[in-house]
Amino acid sequence: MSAILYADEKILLWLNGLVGRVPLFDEFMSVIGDDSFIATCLALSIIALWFGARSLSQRKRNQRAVVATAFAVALTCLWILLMTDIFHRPRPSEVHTISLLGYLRTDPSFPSELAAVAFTFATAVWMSNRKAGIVIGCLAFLWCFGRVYCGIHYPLDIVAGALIGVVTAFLVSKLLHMISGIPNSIIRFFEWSHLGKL
Amino acid sequence: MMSFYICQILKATGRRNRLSGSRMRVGRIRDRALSKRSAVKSGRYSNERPQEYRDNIANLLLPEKRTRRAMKYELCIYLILIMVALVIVSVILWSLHPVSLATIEDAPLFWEYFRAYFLMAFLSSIGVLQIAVTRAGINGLSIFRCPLVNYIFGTLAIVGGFALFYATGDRTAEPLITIHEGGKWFFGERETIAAFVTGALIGLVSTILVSSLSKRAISINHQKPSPQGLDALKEMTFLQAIGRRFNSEH
Repeated sequence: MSAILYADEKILLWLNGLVGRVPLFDEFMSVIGDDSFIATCLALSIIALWFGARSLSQRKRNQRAVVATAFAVALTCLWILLMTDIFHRPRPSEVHTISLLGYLRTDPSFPSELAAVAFTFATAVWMSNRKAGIVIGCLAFLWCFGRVYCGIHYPLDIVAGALIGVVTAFLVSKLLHMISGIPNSIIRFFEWSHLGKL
Repeated sequence: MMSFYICQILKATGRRNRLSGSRMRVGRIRDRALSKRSAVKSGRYSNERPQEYRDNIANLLLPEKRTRRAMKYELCIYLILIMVALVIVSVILWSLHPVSLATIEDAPLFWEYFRAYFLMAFLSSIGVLQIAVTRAGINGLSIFRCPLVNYIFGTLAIVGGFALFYATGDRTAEPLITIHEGGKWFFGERETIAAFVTGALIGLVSTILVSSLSKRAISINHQKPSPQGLDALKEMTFLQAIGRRFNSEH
């Protein structure tokens, strides 16, 4: 375990050591690693998925994916809330001397909630729409990389958060596939208001 | 005597002519007077309109006659949407009101950050909607007739929204909004979600209103059955789809 933690710190210090070499890249990564940019992109991608399919079958799959994503994200946030009460790992900037891009966070570092949410999005969408899932997965990976580069999280925090997100999204998607009444009733409501299609 | 009988015959003929000419009208009045259920039971009610009526409608290209109840529902929907539009305009004007630099240290920064994020969410959701509905062929929600213009408008709205947010302040800094009685108030996840959902919902309602106004001249084929869900918006605007549902129900 100590070897894993040692390797974890080494990777963080090596990656964060690149800060300051290319200021423009640092600016770019500080925006990418921020809380709001990629999160907003993910939320907008949900809107695009709901309305943007060309064929009826694809639209149905996309809308089911959106419903599954909503449930999976809620469950993921609950898991993270429980786990941060158990694990109290401090942030990298509290332990090491690093170049922090962004502001100092004071909540526990392990596991990374934003990584969990991002990979929840990616997995839930990938289950129904491979192409969109890959695009959202790339965004999620970029976000997580930015968080480590900026010195906000350890790599292990990101890996743990991603695992939680992937497993939760997979289970929720399978469950909703079996209990199709729940997503169907939600989509039927939107169909009644001419904003969805069952 | 003969003239009396001739008059009677003429009168009767005239009455019969009026009756034959208005047999449909009398029939419809009678059917409306009876309840639908008893009319169906008695077999006098027919769902099909007479052929002559269908031909007249098709030939004259006039909208179907609407019942008073359907018109009342439509009026209520228009009034609600106008009120929503007024709320949207007032929210947008409030969000664009500049915060005075002189009082920025005293004024709570929460609303300034909320406004900035709300504007970004509002503009970018409109942009994403336009691109998505144009790609899907949902003409009832697109603002412009030309797909290329929709794509350009959508892209500009997304880029403009993000540029407005990130250019009007250091958004990577700590979102410490105000120090209130020794405590700290952050613009955290809940506030971010609330701002995004508000902006996206208002963006959706704005898109519905503007597209319904800009495309109100779409002619609808009343002979075809109305499609359900989003498919209905490929042929008509959102307000027309809602109005047509009330027409068909009443």
